[in-house]
Amino acid sequence: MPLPISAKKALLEWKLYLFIVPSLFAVGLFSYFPAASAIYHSFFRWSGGDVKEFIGFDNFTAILQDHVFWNSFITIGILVVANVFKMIPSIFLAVLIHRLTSDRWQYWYRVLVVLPMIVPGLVTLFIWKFFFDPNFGVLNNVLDATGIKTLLVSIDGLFNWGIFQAGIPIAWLGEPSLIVPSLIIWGFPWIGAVGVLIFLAGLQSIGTEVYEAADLDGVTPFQKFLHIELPLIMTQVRLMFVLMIIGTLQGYGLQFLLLGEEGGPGGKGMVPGLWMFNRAFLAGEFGYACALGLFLFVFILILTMINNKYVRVDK
Amino acid sequence: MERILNTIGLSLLALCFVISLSRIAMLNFGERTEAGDKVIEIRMAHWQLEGGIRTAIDAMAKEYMKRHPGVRITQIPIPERIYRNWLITQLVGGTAPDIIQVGMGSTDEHMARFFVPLTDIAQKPNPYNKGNDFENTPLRDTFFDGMLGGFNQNLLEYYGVPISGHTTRLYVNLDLLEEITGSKNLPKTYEELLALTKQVDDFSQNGGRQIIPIAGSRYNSPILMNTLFISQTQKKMLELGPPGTLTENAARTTEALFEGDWGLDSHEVRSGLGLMREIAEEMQPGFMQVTRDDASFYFVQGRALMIVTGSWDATSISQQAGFPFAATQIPLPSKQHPHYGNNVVGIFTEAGGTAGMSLGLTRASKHPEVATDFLLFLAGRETNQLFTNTSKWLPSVLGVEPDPQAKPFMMQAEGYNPGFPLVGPSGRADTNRLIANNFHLLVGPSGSVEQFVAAIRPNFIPYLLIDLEREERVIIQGIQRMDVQLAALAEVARSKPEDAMAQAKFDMISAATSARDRTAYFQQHLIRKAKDRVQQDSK
Amino acid sequence: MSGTKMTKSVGGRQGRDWPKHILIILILAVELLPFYMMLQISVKNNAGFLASPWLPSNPLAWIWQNYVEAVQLVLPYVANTVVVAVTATVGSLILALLGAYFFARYKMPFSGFLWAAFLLLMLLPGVANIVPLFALLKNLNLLNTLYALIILGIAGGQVFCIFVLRNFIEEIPKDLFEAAEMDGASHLAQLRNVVIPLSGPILGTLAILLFLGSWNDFLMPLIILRDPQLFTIGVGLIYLDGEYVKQWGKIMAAFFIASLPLIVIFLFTMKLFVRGLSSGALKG
Repeated sequence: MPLPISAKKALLEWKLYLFIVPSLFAVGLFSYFPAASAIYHSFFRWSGGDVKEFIGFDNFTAILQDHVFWNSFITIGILVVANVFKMIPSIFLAVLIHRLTSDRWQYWYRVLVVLPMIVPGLVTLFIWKFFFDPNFGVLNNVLDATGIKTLLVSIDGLFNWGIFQAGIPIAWLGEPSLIVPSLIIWGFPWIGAVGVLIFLAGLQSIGTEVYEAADLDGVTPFQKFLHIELPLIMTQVRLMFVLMIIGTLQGYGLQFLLLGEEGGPGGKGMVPGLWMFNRAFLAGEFGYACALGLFLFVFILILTMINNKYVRVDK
Repeated sequence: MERILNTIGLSLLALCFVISLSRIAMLNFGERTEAGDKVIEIRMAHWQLEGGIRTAIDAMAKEYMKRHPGVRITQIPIPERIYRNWLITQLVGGTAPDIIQVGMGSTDEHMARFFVPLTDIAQKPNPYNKGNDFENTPLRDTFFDGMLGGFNQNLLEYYGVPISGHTTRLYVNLDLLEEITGSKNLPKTYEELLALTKQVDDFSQNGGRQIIPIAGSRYNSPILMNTLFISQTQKKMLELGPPGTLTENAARTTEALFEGDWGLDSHEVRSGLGLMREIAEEMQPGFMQVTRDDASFYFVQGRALMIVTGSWDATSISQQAGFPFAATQIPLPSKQHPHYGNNVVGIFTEAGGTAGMSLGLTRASKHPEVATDFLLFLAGRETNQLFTNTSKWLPSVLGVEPDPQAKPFMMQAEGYNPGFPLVGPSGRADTNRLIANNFHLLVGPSGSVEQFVAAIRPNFIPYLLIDLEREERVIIQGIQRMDVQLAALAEVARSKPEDAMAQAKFDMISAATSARDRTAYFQQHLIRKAKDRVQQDSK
Repeated sequence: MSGTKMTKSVGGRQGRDWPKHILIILILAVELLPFYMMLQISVKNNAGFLASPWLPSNPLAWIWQNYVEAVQLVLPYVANTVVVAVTATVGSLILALLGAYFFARYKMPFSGFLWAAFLLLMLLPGVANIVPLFALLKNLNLLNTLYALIILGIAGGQVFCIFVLRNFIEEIPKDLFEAAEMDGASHLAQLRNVVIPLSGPILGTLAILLFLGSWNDFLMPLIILRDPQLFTIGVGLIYLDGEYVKQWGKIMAAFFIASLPLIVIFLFTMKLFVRGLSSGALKG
């Protein structure tokens, strides 16, 4: 904890304030100021130049009727839920590595986990785009080769979706109903190197006696996980959880690169962030975009406050 | 050991950093010419990344720089995918290059705010045509379309200098054609085209390699499908009156729609949609996901027999294809076709086409006179000849002999006027988006024409109404702008009755304003009709 | 918790390990698939790629020409990105160290308020800021410069770094500081002599994370930069993807070159990174 300080000493230590000035300045100018500016401009019809027209709450009423925006919330909601599940493999891998007997192997696996991080995110993205290609792509080839494709076709026949058909390559990014599943599938097997390492760190602190006791009681591996490991890494899990939610809610880079600025065929890939981008930099409606951003911010703020109330994140 | 590794890593990084930094530092200092004056840099942006264009522009720029040593021309090619938002950020941010290719993503508002009208230079002869028979011809008459390709109908000003021309064609892989059919006969009618695709299907089934009859993509397929659609509205178009300009046609057909003359259920629209669906089945499944480069890829790798695209892809394709190919006009149903023949009048004429690749001058340019001069240079007959010879694209200036490779793409004047499309101008954003979002119902394997029509019916006219209202706003804004101009010119003309130029300008703007007013009235008339129709439909 | 000390094995007996090994290897194999694809396609041309998309081609037939062309294409982008990423990282860390020291050392008046202000920023969706940020940069005449990217990188990295560093500095025993103070060291000197030597791993980890973030960024460069010679990797790769004539081999080669600096850095600072992340300073 920082040392408490008396007002008198604080005066003597006034130079310390200088330490925070550069950060404050950078953050104030490039984070707070734009935020304030965004709030200000959301009341205008503004195309980014010097000309703006005050229109009061018009932007906000327009948002209420903007069904593209509300649909994008549904999409992002689905993605958030999916991302929650996508946290599981990282935890799983961390537990697996942690339970290995050999320390050397643990170390080398740690290294291997970090290795995929080297590939720049963009490169991975583009390679995945290539995976999704209906004719050249790896995904379709694998599905065909392993027979999963035929399985999908028969399920399709059962439910009459009309999406998976024999002989026709699956258009992952072209069939509107497949876009959201594609976004969810993206990144298989969903290992986040940073996540794995953080979980591993948390797992390290578990003492061996606990395990020995559990072994004596004849506890199954899965129960070990549920009762020993999971509770002790809860803080990390919560941290990753919060970060993930905030990140997913505002994210749109993935959708932009995979689907383009309109959210792909049928606009099914449109997420709130992308719609904001679209309105600002394609339609030139900067004021409206600011209003959209404001909405999004308030939404995330509320969510985080709820999260803090019910799920205490201890420092 | 770890220490050493870390040090090596960090020093490598430091080295890279220093090298990169020095490189950037060198970029910043402007170069100087031999005379010691600062070099004038003109930047030009476009989206034509197709084969041949960048080299052609380089060639033309070099030619210009030879004649004007103090100038440097830099090309900035931007991929089509991000062109629109790149354009807005550059224009709004004030960092736009001097010359920008216009036509994609630039609305009328953008043109008026960010671009310099070129009407002045359009009326005067091009100094770069000295020495040929265009020496005294106004610039706009030197183009095959009267410079219509650079003219903005709503703002009534010339905003761009078009340097090329385009047509769309059906490209056929001749080697593959011979392998499959045993002859090199290109399909002349839609029936022959369909029969050909069935032959390809048979070929693929019976042990030959998998060959796609027509390579489709979300870019290429609409070209083919729309061409076929408008073959079905050809007769209707004639019924609606003698053909006029594009805008006049659009206005007239829109009015006819509201009056119930045609609609989503009329037979020409239904057969048009049916035609689209029929040909869509001959393209590879999932084509709406595929991008244009993928479709071209299939074609040049010999996996597809045919592809429909514009003359703008000819050079790229010829550079990559290892086989001879031919280009022919997109075959339309013949009049004998049992189902579709009724609505067809005949093969389309391409005489009404406008020139393309229109280059505009931005207000952000720091050297407008030099940039304008470069534009005039590009529009000169000599340079256009250089352009077509290097890029193999069609020229826009009259009297320029197209490269032999470009001959099949030249505009065929013989033919009849085409019909009208379902939505009309691409500026009708909301309606077009409605169509795009439901397109998969029309062409997908599990869709049908019925489903498509049912899906778009509820919103078709309401969205059209929204688009028309938006158009009206733009027209009114244009009028207001023009009124200001008119008032100013009136003042000048009044105070200087001897200035013939001022009088002429005043007359021109005056006429334009009246034309504008008429357009505005008609637009409001259309909007009223649309509202009536919406009312009617909701009963 | 001190870095590399591993706990005693907590798994079962040695013999029961092999299912775990298999699972882990399977998972990692799929994770590394993109990497593998990138490498093996980068030495093929389009025909070879169509013929056998999965398996590597004969080493004798590898097309190194792809790399030669890719280098010409991508090297300028890499250079630009190196400058931006390094400068932003260094700048970020310096400012963050100063800021974290302020918060961690003493509970100065108003520090609670300032801290809350910083925390609030973590919630701010960056996406809401893009538009006014763009206008701000335009007014400061910073559009189409690399400076803009560097400054944004520094400003953006502050919150997270200060958060982490503050936690770390608080853990440093107070006596060290008091000893330095008694020797008459100013705060700057204390920072230099006490904090920095101890924070090697954590600074290294933060540096790598910041660097990675800067390297991967493409949205801001996309809307800020106009001149191709200023492009960073992010924008450059998007442009590559936009070419009509896609030579997959060349593209993959370009991707690999774009990854190269990262690979170099990781190889050399691997231990640092792994140790840093595991050190629990990020326990939240």
